[in-house]
Amino acid sequence: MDIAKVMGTIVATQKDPSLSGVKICIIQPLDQDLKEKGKPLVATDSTSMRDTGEIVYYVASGDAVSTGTEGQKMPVDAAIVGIIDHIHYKKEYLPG
Amino acid sequence: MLMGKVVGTVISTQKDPGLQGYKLFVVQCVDVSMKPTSSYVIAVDAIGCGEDEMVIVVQGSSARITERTKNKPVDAAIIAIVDSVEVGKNRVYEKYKQ
Repeated sequence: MDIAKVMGTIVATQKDPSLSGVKICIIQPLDQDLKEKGKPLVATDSTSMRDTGEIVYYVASGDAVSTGTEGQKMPVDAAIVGIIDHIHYKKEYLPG
Repeated sequence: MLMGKVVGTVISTQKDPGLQGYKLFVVQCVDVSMKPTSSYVIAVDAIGCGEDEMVIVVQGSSARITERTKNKPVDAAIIAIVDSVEVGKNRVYEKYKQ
């Protein structure tokens, strides 16, 4: 899983049936210091509790990605799975 | 996933039998401000989209999870047609305003 920031939302009415009711948003991956890392990508958000500017974590590989909240299979390769409240690093493991 | 515009079609008669009857589109990816980038993807159309439409492409093994692309040699599939895109507070793309 990786950390990302929600940048925007996409509305798409005509889509794969298994994606109905699932919000689609644009996220910007972040590194451990919450600085931008890499290019923005499109991800689904079946938990639909995020809005723009929120710091979230997402899955982007393996079977975990294509499993919806009720376990149904979705054609998705990046999915937000939760919102981060705060991140705590132990002093001796502080990155950078 | 990627977002991009359908800029072309690939016609191929000699191909893997698994791809018989499938439309192959050339999708030019766009960045967050909807400007075309230099990366292209050839994706199988899984929902019936057309030329010049802004679409969302899923890649990798998840591309074989749609009804049409199950057990097919596909690693990129168009799964949605974009109606509108909002980044931050402003709307950067509106399908019917193009």
